[in-house]
Amino acid sequence: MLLTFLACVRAAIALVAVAYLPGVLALRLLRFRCSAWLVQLALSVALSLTFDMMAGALVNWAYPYIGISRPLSAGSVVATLGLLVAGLAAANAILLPAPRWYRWRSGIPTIRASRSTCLVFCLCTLSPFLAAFAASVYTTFNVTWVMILMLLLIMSLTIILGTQRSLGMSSLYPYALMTLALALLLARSLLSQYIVGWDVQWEYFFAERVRESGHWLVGNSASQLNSTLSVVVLPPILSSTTGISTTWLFKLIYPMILSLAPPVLYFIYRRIWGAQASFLAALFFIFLNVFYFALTQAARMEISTLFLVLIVFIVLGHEYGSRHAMLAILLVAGLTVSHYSSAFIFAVWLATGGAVYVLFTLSGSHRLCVTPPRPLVSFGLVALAFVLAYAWYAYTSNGITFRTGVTVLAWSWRLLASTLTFGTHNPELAQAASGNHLSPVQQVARYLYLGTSALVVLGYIAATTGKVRRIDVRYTALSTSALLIFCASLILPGVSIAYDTGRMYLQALVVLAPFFVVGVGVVVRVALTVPGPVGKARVRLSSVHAGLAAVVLATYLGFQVGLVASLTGSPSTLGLDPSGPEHNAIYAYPQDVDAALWLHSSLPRSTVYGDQYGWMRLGSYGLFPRSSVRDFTAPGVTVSAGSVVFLRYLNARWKQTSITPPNTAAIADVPLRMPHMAAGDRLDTVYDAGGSRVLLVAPVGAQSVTAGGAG
Amino acid sequence: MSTSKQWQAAFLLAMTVVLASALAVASVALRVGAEGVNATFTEFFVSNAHGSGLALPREAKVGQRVSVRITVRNHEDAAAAYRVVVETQRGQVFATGIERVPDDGSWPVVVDWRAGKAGAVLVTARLYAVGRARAYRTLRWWMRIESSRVRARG
Repeated sequence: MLLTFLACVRAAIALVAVAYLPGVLALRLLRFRCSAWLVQLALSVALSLTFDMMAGALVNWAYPYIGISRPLSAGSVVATLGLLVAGLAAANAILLPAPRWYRWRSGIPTIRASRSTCLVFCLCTLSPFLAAFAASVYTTFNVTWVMILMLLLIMSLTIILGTQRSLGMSSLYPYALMTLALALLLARSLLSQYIVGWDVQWEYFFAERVRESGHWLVGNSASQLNSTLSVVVLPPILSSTTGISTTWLFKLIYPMILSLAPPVLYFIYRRIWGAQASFLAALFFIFLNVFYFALTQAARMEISTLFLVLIVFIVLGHEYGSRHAMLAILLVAGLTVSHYSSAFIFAVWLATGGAVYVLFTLSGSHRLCVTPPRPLVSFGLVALAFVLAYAWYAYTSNGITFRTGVTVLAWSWRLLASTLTFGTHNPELAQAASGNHLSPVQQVARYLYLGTSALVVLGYIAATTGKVRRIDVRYTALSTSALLIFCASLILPGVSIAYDTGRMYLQALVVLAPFFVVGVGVVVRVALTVPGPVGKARVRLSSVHAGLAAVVLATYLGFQVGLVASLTGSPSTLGLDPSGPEHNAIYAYPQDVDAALWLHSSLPRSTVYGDQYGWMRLGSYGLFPRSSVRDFTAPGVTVSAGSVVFLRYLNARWKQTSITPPNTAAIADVPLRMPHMAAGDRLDTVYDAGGSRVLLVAPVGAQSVTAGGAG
Repeated sequence: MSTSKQWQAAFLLAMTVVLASALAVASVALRVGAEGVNATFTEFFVSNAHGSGLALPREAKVGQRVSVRITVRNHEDAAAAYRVVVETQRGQVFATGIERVPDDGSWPVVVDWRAGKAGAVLVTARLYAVGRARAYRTLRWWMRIESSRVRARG
């Protein structure tokens, strides 16, 4: 236990040195100061990550020329980063000789608050710890009541904080947003001892390959994930400096980084919407299940979301001088190398926003809005976003990113054309429109999801037509652009499959979330109170409005996170239902991991078949490229002779999978049917861990065994 | 703020620090100290002389000695006693005595028997753990046993 404690202390010190200090020094050099300490912290972390990723990429490129073959090994990284941070500190000492300590004036909860505020502060502080404990209890004993307690606590805090507008309570808003977001993220990411989720498995694979080899292979065309520095460079750097494994970086540190985004959102919204509405809007952002379900399964998006939010904060700020421009450039660079899709979507978003702004200005529509002191965005920043994204991914991914983009667009066009001409049925749209496969609780959750989305649109219409209050035209332009892009992603059929509509929705909510609160007000016919002159006054919500929005949000969370389903006995989500479909699909057992590692060492060049999540797990633990790991549950797949079948814990132990193509059950039963199979259709069991099994298919004699028709 | 209120606030904060620390320590202790659900198990697999890699006998001639290496790896969180038995359709061909394997330890077993009648043979290796009535783990593979005599054609 002492060693664990010392390892934690070492990790904390190293984390501050690598993920905080460079950013603080850079901000001081830029002479940038923000009064909100959480925004200052988020900026420091984001700049540190940009610094680490850029330094890592530079080192990876330059060191082999001077004979260092493992540029991203621990020694090389620690020495280089140490020198660079020392250089930054020296520049600070020379350029800023007089110490200028920041005064953190707002956002810090103070002990002078009332008893209830102090209690809420304590409960907010406890919620991430409770979430971590709940995840540990679930992993160790499959017990869910701690998780339920934690979620009920978050729902209660939502209602308490959302309905109270005392000064003490509102000063807690940013801190509460950070802690509640962290609690939701950790409750998901800390489940299981291993990586859980989808994309994060491949990210783990690439991060581990770079950490083991000490070198990032630029231009590896295996996957576009290899071109994102948040996946291939940042984890090895953080891992080698802090001693935290890649698994725990993804499970603990990345969610902590992402939890800094909601407070920044709050400060973006507060410029226009007032404290209470902004708090509720930021809660709406973090209660969307994509935030804590999808982002914890895509580590690169956890980093890119922080960059995205900070760029919007800078772009929509009241001031925009040269230091802001410099900061924006650094953040755009960080966003670009963090995630390809976010980089391109952001560039398009910014360009569309600029165009909408010009249109508003030319058409005179901006009279409905508060006249801004300056344009939304400079042409240079838009150009930079495009050029950086294009250059980076052309160089690092051998153009895979663009090929993927072209393929998706071509696919979209074909699907759209067929839909418009009624040539063929569009299964994707039909599946989205139906919902017959959902349980009653899931149906309610779906309608709640659609209802809140409708409130966003309603609020947007009310706000932009001046029915509620006049808002900043820059904000209107950016939110119009976000709405247009999101609608385009819905209309173009292939995009929602290739990128995931939910993730697009989350990114649009970066600016659209406040319209949910406005929409609630429109529905109950409660106008936002605007005391004082237009443009300078703060919005204050009536108690009916705030109360209703808080209750809707708490209910929304209850359904989105699966709490209502769990309490009513319906199949629920991972973390709340140990026998639910989501748990069965993606939870990682040690048998699965050991079997995957055994396969990697014993049959490294085989063609391996697993179910949808089985081949994902295999990919994570060393059997990449994907071409050698196939999904036997896909319709029409034939498991060829001489190949290997990997049955993970849930297939082998309980003969079940959560995926239901016709051939799944047949494959899961194969080991039982083996003695009765014809001599030619042979299946050999060569590995058995009680849960996972490895089978060799038809080694001699038979030509093939068709999935679903074997035996 | 009155002194009593300050004391109450200080007490609340102190309790929060204590509770948060307790939860953090409990979380780490659960992760480090306790095994997760279904986290204790035994691996049973075909291996080769190096311990990893697959060397599975597929074919043999009648009367020829067949040899295969099987490894038992214990992750039961405690030492466990095992026994390996190998059978074909015609009965048991190999058995070990009871072997005690420490936690996280491995037990390589070289299985050795003489091939019987010609034809397709299903070889079944069972791992028995002391205290369990049924076979704990099972491996199966098919072998082709060929006659050692060459038949005259026609």
